[in-house]
Amino acid sequence: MGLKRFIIRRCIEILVIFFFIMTVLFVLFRIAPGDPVERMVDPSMTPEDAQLLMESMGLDQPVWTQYLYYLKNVATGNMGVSFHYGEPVTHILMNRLPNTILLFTTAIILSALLGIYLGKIAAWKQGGRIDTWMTIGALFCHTLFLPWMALIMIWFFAYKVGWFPITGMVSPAVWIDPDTGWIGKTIDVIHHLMLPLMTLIVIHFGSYLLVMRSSMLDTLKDDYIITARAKGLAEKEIRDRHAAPNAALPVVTSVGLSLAFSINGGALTETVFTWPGIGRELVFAVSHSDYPLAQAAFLLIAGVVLVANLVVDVLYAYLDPRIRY
Amino acid sequence: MTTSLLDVENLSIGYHTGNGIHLAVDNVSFHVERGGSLGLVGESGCGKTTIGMAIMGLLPPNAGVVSGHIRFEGEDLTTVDDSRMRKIRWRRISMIFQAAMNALNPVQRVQAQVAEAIITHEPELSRHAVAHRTRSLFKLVKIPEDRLRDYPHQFSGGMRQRVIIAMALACNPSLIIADEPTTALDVIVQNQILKAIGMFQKEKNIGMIFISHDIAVVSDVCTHIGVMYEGSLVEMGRKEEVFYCPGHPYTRLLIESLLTLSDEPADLSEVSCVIAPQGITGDGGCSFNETCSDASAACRNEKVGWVELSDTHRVRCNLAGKEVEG
Amino acid sequence: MTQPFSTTQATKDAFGGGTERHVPYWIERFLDGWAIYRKNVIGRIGVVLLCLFALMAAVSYIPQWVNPIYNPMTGVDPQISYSTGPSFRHWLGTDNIGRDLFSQLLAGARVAFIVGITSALISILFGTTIGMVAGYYGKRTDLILMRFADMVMVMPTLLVVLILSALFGQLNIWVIVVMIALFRWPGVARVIRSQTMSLRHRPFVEAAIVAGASRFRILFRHILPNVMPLALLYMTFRVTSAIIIEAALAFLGFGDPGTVSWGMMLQWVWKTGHMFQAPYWLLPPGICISLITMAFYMTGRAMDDVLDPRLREEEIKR
Repeated sequence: MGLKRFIIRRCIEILVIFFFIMTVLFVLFRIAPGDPVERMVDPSMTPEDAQLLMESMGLDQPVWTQYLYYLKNVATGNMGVSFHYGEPVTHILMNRLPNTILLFTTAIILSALLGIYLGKIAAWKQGGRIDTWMTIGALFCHTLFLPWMALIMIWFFAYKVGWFPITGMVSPAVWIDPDTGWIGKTIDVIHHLMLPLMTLIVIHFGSYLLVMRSSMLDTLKDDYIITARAKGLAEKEIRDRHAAPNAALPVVTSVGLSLAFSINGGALTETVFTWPGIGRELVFAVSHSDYPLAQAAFLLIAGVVLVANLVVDVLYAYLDPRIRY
Repeated sequence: MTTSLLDVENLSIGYHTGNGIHLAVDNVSFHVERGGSLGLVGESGCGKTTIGMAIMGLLPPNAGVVSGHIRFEGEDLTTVDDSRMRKIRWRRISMIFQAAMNALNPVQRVQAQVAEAIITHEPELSRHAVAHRTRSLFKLVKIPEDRLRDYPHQFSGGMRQRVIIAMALACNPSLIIADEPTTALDVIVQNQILKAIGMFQKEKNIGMIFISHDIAVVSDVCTHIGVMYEGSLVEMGRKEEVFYCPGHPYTRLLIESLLTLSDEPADLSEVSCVIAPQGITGDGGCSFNETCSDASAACRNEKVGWVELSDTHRVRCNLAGKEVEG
Repeated sequence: MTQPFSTTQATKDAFGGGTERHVPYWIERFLDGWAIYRKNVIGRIGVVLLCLFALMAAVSYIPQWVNPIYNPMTGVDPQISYSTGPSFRHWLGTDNIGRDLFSQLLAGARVAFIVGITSALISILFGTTIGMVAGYYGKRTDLILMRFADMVMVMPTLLVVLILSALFGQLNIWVIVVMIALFRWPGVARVIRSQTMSLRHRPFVEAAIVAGASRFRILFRHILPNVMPLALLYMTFRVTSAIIIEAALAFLGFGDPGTVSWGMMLQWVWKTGHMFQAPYWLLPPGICISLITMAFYMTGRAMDDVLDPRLREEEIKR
């Protein structure tokens, strides 16, 4: 029951923040140089279509009414028509959303798990050679420049060794072939997923490792570790059953705090690997002045970050029994 | 020498510090009989916890036994290897920790933490048998069955202490080391816990070392009392002897400060001059001489030895027995 | 109330006992810190790397002065019309229109320092001021400011700047610097706020309040000097993130077209399709970005050790 109230409160907070972001975006779209109408209506549309679209967005009304229309349209998902694709942007983005979520969540979960696992070992061997090299390695990976790393990965694994496809999410040949079942399709997607996933993991696991390491070192000084030792548990059991679960809690917090950073990285990765996600769509829209698409993509990404934040908070409350009441 | 349950002989424990080894426990000897109970009293930092940890083989990495022996059921614990020590821990010597500290893992259910001790030492037991033993342990310490699946933070301090006691009893040990088990509990709860500990100890005929800074608490539960000051044992005897005719001025100070607290506004002038321990003075005289009101030049310079006041009562004070005082 | 003893003691801690010894005290404190810092291997590597990059930035003006074909932006080698590998004439080779990669790399160091340090300074200025005000005034001021900070904190800076550049066209490098700074202050503000809150109840601040000092004076005269080291530490981390964001922006093609940054170089090698053929072009800018962020990060971590007395004690114990 405590948890439920907590979630409801966080949801309300998230709605307020989202409302704020929406408003700021609306204001920015009005104060930017140029004609706001031209920014939302594709110049190549027929006059009738353009008129229809303008009416549905209230673009012929005063600014205040336009704002109300805008709120209504965001709520109903009517965000205009993409200049480039000529389709409703909501339609395009909903198509892309699962791809982004697939890449983003697997990357974050796997890098957190890897960071926790390696950080645990590093802290356990504190001061030893393994610890030193792991810390240096983590520092190094953490500071690698992501797009460059992505290019190097493509250059090596896709171009030199040829293990993975260079870009994209699916190979059309596999998907057009009527004989491929869902297993073949899944394998094909995983095959394409590997490189972007590896890139994101390499960039992210380092900071989680460092957090886990220092948190584990703190935890090892706690009294229940002495209790566990006094109970006659083997050192490995103490590490895995008593120290690690407690030490991993700050890592969850740091995942939450670095979400904005991760979504930046997600957009870059999607762009370099031409992974059809929202981040790439946003970059594409911005470079092609496709304003309706850019606006909707940005709002959707902000929404994803906020929801992901909520998920992390709930996960934390779930993992740490002390938070629940 | 007869084989007692636990025999500590001339034990010295040192911490490595920036400038050499600092002795935290200096040449301490005592023994605990089967079913007997010894209370170790002294101010914080006097080395009493260090002794407990040494018996468990849990000294921090920068500390070590410098000399002496700890014989437990005839086996010298200062020389056994790690895996043997792990088997002795909890199975035969268990520990009651202070509940105010995080002695329980905050993210594990209390039931699991008690069961863990049983599973570790008796892996042959079935899950059902472990669960059964866990339940009966909780019944013993009077924790309702519906709270077994709770987390430590959902318990009060007293209940947490009961969990720790249940945990300590889990493997029927022959010796329990209780390290300040009632500190930071309120008086009524403290009383309940002390009664419970005393009862289990007698019922199951377990030997106990009870470590506390509170001489009144110790005299409640123990048959013997050892008083420690700056790493040395300064007085040792049956509880009546130590409590009613203390031989060492430090023991007297401890008991006096206790009485003044309950009677009248305390005259703390004598207590406040107890300076923080500054390490063992070495061979140059009694370490208590700077605080002792009766200290003479001899106390400052001559080495102090044990003075036997009775068969069971020894004091490490050159003045002991020479003058008779309350 | 506070005793004269604790006041003088604490004031001494903070100011080195009065204004007349103000400057020597700071130097003394710096030297003390430096003595601890020097023992840290990671910190030493960081400083050496930073000096190297500073040197690169400093000499970046020389090539174009030697020969205009070495101008990183406009200098084109008339004999070369495609990308060539390292040679004596071009130490790192040239890009596809015959511009010298080495001089571009040097110019990139200059841009990285300008972007990193200016942006970090601005965000530290914002963060420290907001954090101090929130921590000192507390109550509603604190609540509003921190909620606002939370809101800004969840925004992915890179994408925000992207949207802005979509709306306002190509952004000038200074606009980018300010934009990054405007979105990177909340982390600093949070840390400074909690530090201020703990300082507020220290004897020397309470003594100043009793003595009738104005709030402004207390904040800037008594609290600021004590949060300064922490702010400086956070500055190193902010430099890192500013450099990365600028590089990423340039990589995506939204950098200032008038500057040659490392991110820009990577964009050129990527967009012109040379990434498989020209490792001499692909590797150096990426290594430089990674190394400079690592250098700042290492410096920061080592500074953290200097500022954290807990760690220092441990070091002595061992």
